[in-house]
Amino acid sequence: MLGILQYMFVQNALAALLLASVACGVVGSFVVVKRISYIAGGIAHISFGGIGLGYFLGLDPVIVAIPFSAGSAVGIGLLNRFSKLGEDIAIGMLWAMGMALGVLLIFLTPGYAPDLFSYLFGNVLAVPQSDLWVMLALDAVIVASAAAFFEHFKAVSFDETFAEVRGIGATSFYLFLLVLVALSVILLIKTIGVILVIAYLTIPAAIGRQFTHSLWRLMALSAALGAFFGLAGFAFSYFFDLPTGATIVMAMGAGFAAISLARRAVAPKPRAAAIRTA
Amino acid sequence: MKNGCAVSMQGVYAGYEGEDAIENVSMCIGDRRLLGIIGPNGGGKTTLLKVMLGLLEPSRGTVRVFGQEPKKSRGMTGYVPQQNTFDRDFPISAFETVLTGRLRQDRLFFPYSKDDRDAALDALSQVRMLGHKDRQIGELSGGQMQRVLIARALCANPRMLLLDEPTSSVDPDTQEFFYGLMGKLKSEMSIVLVTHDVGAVSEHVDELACINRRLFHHGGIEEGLEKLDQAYGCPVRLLTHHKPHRKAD
Repeated sequence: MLGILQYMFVQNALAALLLASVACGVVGSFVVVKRISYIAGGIAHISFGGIGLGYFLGLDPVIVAIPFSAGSAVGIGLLNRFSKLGEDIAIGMLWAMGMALGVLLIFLTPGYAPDLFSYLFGNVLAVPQSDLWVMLALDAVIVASAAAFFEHFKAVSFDETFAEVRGIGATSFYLFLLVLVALSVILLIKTIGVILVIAYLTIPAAIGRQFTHSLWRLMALSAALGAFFGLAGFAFSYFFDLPTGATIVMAMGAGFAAISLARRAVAPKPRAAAIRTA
Repeated sequence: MKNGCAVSMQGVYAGYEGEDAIENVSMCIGDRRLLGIIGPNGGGKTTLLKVMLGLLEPSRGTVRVFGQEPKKSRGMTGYVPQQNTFDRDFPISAFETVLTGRLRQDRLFFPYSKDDRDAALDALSQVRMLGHKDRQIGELSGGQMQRVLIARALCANPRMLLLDEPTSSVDPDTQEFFYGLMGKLKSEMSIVLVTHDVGAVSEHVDELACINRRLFHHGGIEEGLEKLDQAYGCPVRLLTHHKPHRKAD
């Protein structure tokens, strides 16, 4: 059974899953505690426009999608903050427009786009070595940023107004965080695809936060959970010949449901909500 | 500091989306005084606070906090927001919350020094919350949370403390403790307390300001209470049965 490990594409797939789990832990934790999963989902879908642009220009779609997604993240963040549209409306519009842009650009590109499907739903078995280096570089940027500004991100995520009064540029850190979300999306794109990527950025951290009240422990735990479900989903999909990305997402979802229900059964502790109404 | 004012405002108009919530407000908030700002909901109390904090630019008029623009004087201002403005489920302990009061933009990686940690612990003990320092904030009661937020504002050694509805979700014990603490702190700093709780505040502050779009009064408490009817636009039940108010000199 371990014989499959000798295949290069399997080794690459496992490396990709482990690299993906780092971003999933660090950025996913912020997405969950700051409750920005909707905007993160928007950024993920908009990034498909960058993939289309890459095709259209005849360049590596992943590389082109990096500045495209980071720029879109800043744009959507600014629109969210300063336009008079409701937050969800701005995101909803750009969400669909990013996808539409990708479809149009791919349509206008001569020839056939063979791996289009893998950008939408991921194909971890087809991750080339070169993409692993891109993933490693993006992970390094994400981890270094989060380490340098961990306390700032935490303070701004918790109480933006107070941080602003303390002279911490809350809007800048908000946009910075959205850029990290965009980088994570690109990092995860080949593994899980733009449509499923939001699972990586929410489910492991949503499980993790049931077990810890410390943000950095939440990151470590989410990364570990991301790796576990990634590898478990991969193994399951490999042996039962199922699409890997979708299998991983279902494994994460089932894990969340099982753990939440088990915790409720074991420790029915009254939540702090009772005090809060006072 | 200009004319001994911690905060001075000259003809300030401010609000949102082109509509002023406060109009032509001019006032001087004295240093080391405990000022209560009262007024009806929607009367512009929070707007006034935001202007002092530099979170909102006035559409007209000038504001100076310790002689500087509010944005530049932020290092000297401690802010205690209303409790409903953030997520109680956030994974952060009481100690970590207080520590954010020492955070600075320009320090990367491990931004807190031993001094910062000591200051946070001191502030927690000042509000008698040292025993709860490792609790996640969602596990604290409204009164305990209030103390943590005050500690967070105090640990940066501010020269002025701005509090937004500080007693709205706290138990009577905490309220008593709170006013005791404010009484002690005012020898070291200016304190501005915004509330719609007229009764409690008028017993404990040195000065009262009534605002309902315009500033109806700023000064002594007795006169302030008289002006309340005018500010609210309807008679307010005055609390004449309380012990005599301290005279604001």
